[in-house]
Amino acid sequence: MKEEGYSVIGKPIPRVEGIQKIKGEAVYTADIALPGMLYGKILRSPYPHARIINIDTSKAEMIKGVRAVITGRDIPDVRYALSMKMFPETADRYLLSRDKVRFVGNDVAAVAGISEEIAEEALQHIDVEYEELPAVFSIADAINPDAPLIHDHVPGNLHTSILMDFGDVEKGFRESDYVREDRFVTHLVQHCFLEPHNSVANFDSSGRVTLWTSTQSPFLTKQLLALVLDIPKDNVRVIKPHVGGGFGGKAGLYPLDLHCALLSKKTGKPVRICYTREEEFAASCRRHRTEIVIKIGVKKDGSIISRKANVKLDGGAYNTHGPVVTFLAALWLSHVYRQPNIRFESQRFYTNNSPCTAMRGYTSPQSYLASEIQMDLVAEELGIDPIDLRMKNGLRTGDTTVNGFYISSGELHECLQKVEERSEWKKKYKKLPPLKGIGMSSTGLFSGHQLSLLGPYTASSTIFVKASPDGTAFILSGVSDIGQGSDTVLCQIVAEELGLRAEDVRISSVDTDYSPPDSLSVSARCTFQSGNAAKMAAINLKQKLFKAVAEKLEANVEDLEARDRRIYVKGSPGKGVSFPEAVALCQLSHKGMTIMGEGSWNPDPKQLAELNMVTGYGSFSPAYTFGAVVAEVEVDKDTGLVKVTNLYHSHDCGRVINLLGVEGQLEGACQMGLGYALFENIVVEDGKALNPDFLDYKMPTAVDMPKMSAHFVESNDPGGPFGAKEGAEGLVGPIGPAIMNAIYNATGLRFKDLPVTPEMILRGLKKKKGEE
Amino acid sequence: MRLPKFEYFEAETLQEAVSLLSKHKGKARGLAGGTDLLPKIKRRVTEAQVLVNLQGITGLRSISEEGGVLKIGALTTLGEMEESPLLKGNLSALAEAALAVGTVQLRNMATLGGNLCQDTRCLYYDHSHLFGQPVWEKCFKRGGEVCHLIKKGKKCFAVYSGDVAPVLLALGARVRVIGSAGERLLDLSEIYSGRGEQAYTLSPEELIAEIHVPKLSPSSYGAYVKYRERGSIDFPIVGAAAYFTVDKDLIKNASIWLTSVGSAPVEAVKAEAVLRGAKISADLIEEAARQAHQEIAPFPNHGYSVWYLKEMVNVFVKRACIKVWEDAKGGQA
Repeated sequence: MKEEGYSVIGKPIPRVEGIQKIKGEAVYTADIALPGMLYGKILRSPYPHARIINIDTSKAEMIKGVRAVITGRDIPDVRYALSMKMFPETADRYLLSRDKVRFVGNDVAAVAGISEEIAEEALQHIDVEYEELPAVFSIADAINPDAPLIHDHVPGNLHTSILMDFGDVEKGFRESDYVREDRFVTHLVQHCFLEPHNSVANFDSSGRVTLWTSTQSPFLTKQLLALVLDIPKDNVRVIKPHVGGGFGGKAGLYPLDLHCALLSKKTGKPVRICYTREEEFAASCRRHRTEIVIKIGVKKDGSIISRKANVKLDGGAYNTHGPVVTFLAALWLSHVYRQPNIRFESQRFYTNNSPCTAMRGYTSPQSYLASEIQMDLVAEELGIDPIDLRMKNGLRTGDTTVNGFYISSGELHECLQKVEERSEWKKKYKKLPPLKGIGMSSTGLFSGHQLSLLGPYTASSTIFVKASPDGTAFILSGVSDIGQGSDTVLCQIVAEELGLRAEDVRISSVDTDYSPPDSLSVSARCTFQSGNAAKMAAINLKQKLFKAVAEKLEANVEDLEARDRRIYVKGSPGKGVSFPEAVALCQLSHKGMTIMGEGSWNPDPKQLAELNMVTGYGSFSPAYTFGAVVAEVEVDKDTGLVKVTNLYHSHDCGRVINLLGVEGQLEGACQMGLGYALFENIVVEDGKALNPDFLDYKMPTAVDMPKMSAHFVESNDPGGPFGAKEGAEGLVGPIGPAIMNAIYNATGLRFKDLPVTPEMILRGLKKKKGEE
Repeated sequence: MRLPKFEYFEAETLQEAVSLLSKHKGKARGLAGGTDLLPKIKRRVTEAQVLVNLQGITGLRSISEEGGVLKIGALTTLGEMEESPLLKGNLSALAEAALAVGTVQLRNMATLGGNLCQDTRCLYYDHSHLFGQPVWEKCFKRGGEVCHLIKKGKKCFAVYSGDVAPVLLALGARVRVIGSAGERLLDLSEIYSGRGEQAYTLSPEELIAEIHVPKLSPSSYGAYVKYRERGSIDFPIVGAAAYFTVDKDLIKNASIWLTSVGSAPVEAVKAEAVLRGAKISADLIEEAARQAHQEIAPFPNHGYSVWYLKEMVNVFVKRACIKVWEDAKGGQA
């Protein structure tokens, strides 16, 4: 690990909130109990597609202990979508159904009662008259010209369509020596955050609502809740307690947020709703199921000339993050390699399945599954080592892709080299005994995005840091730590700038009344974007302290340094003052005013090509990350069961701010990627989830984990705080394809559909044996 | 999800429990560990207007030996079985089967009696009343006339998936059952009806008090092997228990039972016949496993096809037998 004299950056600092969490002291939304609080439950549709003819709530309302029942008639006439501010026409969902229900689990009514038992009981006494409608459950059915329309205003059930067309792909294919096309299908999985969606709302008599919610986007949630409540946005206050995971599934607004608010308004009492695990699986949100057809043209030496793809996404019944996810499904294919000609089409369809949304890596695990298995097929066909093929094509620092990504730092080659060495690839590839295999995949992601999700006048991140004469600093931030560790990273960044230790810096949790705005905890943006804002705020504060200290020492501001809890003249640590003294001096010179530093981060239009959401041209992100994974597997010849024995991971995440943090992210990504490839699958029949629990939906457990070896390539991005970039979300993408490629290496069986089951492998092995 | 209202009693004796169950016949359930029952009541899959807690009954939570007969109280937890000094040596397969169940949290609560009487499983059955279930056509297990798993099926195909029962069955265990008419001693196999929708022959007011394992010959050796995708939590895809009584390399007696292949544990009778009286060898075990593959007709379930499950019967009968053989070789060495 490169040191460069940092005292806090790069160190394995434990989570600032870690002890509280493991001791059970940390307060999550479900722990919040307010005087007089009521408990809400949601009545859900048993049908995948039906018209609501009538709802009779009278019996439920008469149950003792029931305080309010609301239906679609009680909500303002505002349709919701996460993108409703940017693209109002994409709003497609009444958060309590008014006219129709569109999936099994769609929200029909909500009840508040004096206990969860009573509220749940009351659901049984709401009489809903439905007129069943024909439903579609697959992309093929949704496309069918005779298919019923899920939303009357959307012909062909085609929700979003994106085309990115750069260069001339057809010409590229003609100029290629080898062209192949493959089709891949991915399945349904879920975020499986340990904390389900929970909310508490308190609508007070001033007309203001306070919402405590398990969210990764408090500021956006505030704006969206105001829109669907049809009240001024400053009448909404959102407080984010500790959050037990988000992975994309807690961005924006969820129906329970509105239900809590309206039930609270109607009853004059605070209302809490907690989703059950069954509600999470059956009625919340999922990773998109995709069908990907991808075509590649290469020269004999392996260089990619042309690549074309059609990605179809099963979006489920509503929009959620739909347009962005659709856009990114195409965008990912332009990353990682040099490709002069690309044409990527991405289409998201409505079906009567539960809505799909963003999930760790957006659509990158799906896209990389297709592109990285295909790269393996190309390598095989051309007789080139799979790692060498990626080396040949990898983007490098300074490159601009044909669609306008500027690679400010990129060390794919070093990542590839590292996993090759650490896994002893050359000794193993095609040299392992039968049923043992090794495979690899590249990957890449972004470090945040350029979208202005909080509106054109609000920076992506604003952070204030205040200093106290007791020797501590306090960060006022709107960044949502949802378990990913951003609070710790921000404390480290501020501590490093101010010459403090990490434990000297504290940070607020998000309260939209008091915290400066920060965009969502999505798109791998916090370390890069909010980290820059924090760094700038700390520098701003430091300058104020330096000015006061310089006067006292009769030194120049430029000669001062902050380190080891002191501010002193560079090279003469003796000539200086302690940090508390510096703060005291500064306050004295400001009539006792508390000293505060300010910082913000927003994309710089002068540096980056603006993103065109129609053509797809532009730099989506201020910085890009790269990585590589080698997987080793053993296949049981009798059962077909795959055991992943080793995952060697290398990731170019720029400067590592917190080693423990990125290692934790990496292990989590390995678990999620392993589950995606081999274990997890929501089994759905006629729109009903058949395994909505942690028994029959099989997340890998601790004993199923392989040995993991992490290596971080520290590329030092010029735009990142201390050179840092993404080191979390992108780690999940390459696991699936690396495992699939290793299974091929072990068995000769090539799978293009997920998930791969032991039964599929055993059938394949028996068939091969029969053929021999 | 919350429990509905129910009447609750704590029984202090078996007789009291039985009389409470008889008094509320059809509406009452005995509550032991609750790991299978309570979630089902929450989901309104099982109805119970009355719960009779059995945990206060003394004398049913121990493992002891009397005159060579091993007696396990029905309230003994699976966790206690794992740790029992009496379930060692050639009875260790029982402890291993207990250890193979669920997770440590579940094993600390779950009792042997409850484990033997756990409900049969089907992906189409165990769903809450809050999701679609009210409008699904009632399947056999819910008192209806259709099967959602086998679309034209004429019966219920829910599978019994207990891990401990096959081992006890291979050991020839008996159960002491208390009911309103008094006490009965049954072969464990007799409590399984083989019907998915009503998997047990016991009447609603009957309770298992104790499990008796007959004296085991010192030259008996056993094993339980469980196939599952994850190393924890999962029910078996297939589980196989085998016990052999040997005289050097001669198999004097063999007993093989499987779980998760039908609505009750299933004995591999033809495989046993191949082994019984024969000289043990790898080929013999192969042949026995082939017989099991032939004779067992698993129900497709939880996404696995009949073809695959038959293959797994072959593989896991073989693995169980090999484990027994290795143990026997070690024991006699």
